[in-house]
Amino acid sequence: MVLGRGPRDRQLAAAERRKAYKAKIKAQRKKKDKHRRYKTEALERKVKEATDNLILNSQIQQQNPNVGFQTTTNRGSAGLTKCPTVGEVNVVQTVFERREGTVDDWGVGKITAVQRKQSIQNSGISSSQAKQVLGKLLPELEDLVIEPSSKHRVWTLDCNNLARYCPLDYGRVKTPPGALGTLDCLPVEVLTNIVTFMDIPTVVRFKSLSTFARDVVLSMLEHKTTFSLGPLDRLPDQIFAKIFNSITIDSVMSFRLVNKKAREKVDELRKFHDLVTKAPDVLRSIQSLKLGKLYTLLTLASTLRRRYCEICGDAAGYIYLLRNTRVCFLCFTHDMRFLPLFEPNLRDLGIPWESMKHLPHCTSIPGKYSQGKKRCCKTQLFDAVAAQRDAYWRRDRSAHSQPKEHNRKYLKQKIRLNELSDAWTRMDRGLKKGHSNDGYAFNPRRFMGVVRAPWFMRADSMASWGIHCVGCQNEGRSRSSGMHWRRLFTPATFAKHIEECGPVLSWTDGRLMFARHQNLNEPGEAERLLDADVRKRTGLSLKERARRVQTDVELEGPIGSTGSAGLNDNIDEEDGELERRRHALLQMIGVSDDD
Amino acid sequence: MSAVPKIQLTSSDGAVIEVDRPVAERSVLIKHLLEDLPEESTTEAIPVPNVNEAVLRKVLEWCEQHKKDPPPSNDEDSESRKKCTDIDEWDQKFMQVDQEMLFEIILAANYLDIKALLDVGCKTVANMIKGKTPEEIRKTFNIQNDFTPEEEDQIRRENEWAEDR
Repeated sequence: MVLGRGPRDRQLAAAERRKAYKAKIKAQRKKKDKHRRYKTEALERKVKEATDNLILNSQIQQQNPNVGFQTTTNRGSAGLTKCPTVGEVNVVQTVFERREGTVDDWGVGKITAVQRKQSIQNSGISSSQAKQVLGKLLPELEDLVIEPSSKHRVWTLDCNNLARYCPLDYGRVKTPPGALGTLDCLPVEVLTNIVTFMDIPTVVRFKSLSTFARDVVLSMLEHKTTFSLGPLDRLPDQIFAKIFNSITIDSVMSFRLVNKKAREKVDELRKFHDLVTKAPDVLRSIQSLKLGKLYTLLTLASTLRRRYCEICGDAAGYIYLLRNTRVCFLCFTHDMRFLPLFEPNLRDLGIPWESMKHLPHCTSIPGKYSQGKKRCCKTQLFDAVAAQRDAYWRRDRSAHSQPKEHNRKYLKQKIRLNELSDAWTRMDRGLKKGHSNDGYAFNPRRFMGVVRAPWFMRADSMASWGIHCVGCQNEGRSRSSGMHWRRLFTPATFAKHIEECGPVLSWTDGRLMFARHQNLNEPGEAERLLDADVRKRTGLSLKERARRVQTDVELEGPIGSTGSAGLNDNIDEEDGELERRRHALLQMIGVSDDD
Repeated sequence: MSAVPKIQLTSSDGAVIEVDRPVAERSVLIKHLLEDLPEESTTEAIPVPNVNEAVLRKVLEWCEQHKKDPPPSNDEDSESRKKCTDIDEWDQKFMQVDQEMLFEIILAANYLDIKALLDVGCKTVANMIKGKTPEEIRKTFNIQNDFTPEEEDQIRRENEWAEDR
């Protein structure tokens, strides 16, 4: 605070500062407008080139179906592909699925947001450029979905440092590309043969070329060039893959230890390669829980290709490992079938120790689990469904060997149970006895056997993590309404969701984002809810907040102008869009800009 | 009752084997070949250059046994069929041959496109690997180990959960 200055001086100083700031912002905006115009033109050029390329590709494909994408009757691929003139935008390849005769049909040329984002992220262009490309390709979806973020994170197996405790050796022995230039394309056996024909000085020179060259020479000198799989070497890769489809993960990992050639062969299997490169945490979890004997490569691959929850049919981002089941968050946190049992629970159910060994079970790994991030130590977990089945079977058997009086009582109970149409309801009733204090999403036991897993597209095994609806992010925890902030969608189910719950009304003041579904049955409901959201988070009504934002913009320049450079970029890009939305919203709530 | 039509197959070592046409048609390759050939040409022996006499007789023995089986389908059933490694009793006995012959049968089934026989062969090899340690697999297939003990130990450790890392 400056002493000796009156209020008039301070007002003048403030006015000057404001004036200077406005001039500065004006100059910055002018500069950025110019830059933005330039970027937009460049991007438009790129998109045009890429689209031309796509048309060219489809023409080529029509002429020769074996070139480019594979297309079948009910499945196709589309998007921007190899466009050399675009520079960094190398491959923007996207896949979509069409289901004939259903609402899932997105039509030719429409692309899923996640896949587009992934492919664009992979292509190495900046996020702002990507956003503009995405906006151009599918503007109607871009604003309505968000990808799973830290907000959606819950502590399952994959959050417990699996990469540190179970690193997997896959890819570690691969030769770095370009280590031997054009000789790289030759297999090691051929290279070793070449080396045998060299004279000593040449071998020495070759040895000094690179680490890999040295390894080749050393392996030849040490007579370690067996690289043979005995009789298995005669089998073509296709049959080799067929054999390994029906072998458990445990045996596959054992086979990798047989010799170097065996490891190479297994690593080349498409299913194994996809698993290790796109969902390594799934394999790490299986290895960590020692559940390899329950899975074959084929069963695991089919679970990874499945994208819908086996209980409710929603898109599901998790796998329950004790039973190899694709499951969504809401199901595995609420369904009794996904609550693994402890040993005392099994004893309560009357299962002896000898039988426990035969039920699907695992030893959990110590770590933090559940939504509450609760620390847990090692413990034995048993699959609830298998345990219940075993218990019912035992009760059934013992009832027939019991005296008549007991038998009658049991049969009476059994008849009552059979009246319930759903067998799972019976199971729930049986289990709830011992689990009355189940904390659902805060119960760590539900998370100890669950791993977050993407689903693989059938066409090219690209991994997708699904999308969340922006309009549901502020919804409560009621699942029955169809709106829950944890619901995951595929583009197909998202279209259905929008159809059911109405379009999304969203408003952002630059810092905070508010969005609600417009309930078509009750007009004005979305606006009321949006108002309540704003009031809850800022303490002001939507009207007041909008006024405040307007005043802030006039006095202090655009919101976020003091933030980081990245944020500035994003806000600038969204500036026009924000302005448009703000005006629409102000009109909607009856506040004019002049107010 | 009309007699079952017969065809002749010539193995890679020149042996001519006569077989019922429905039996030989378990092989998709031969079936398509017979469909494409004119009726009068089917009396000539069909060469099977990649399969020797002993293996061809063995394969035809399997075809004879399974001649009444339904034709293979490419639907979901075949997916689930692949998942289990159970082999029926007759096939198990049939596959009790030395490894040389087993791999010959697999290759012949692949060449002649007999999916069910190929499946049985693959399952037999899968069962030979299943549940075995690396050392046992090496012994079974007579494979030489080119890992040093340290390398082997490191790979083993990297692929399992170890708290002390």
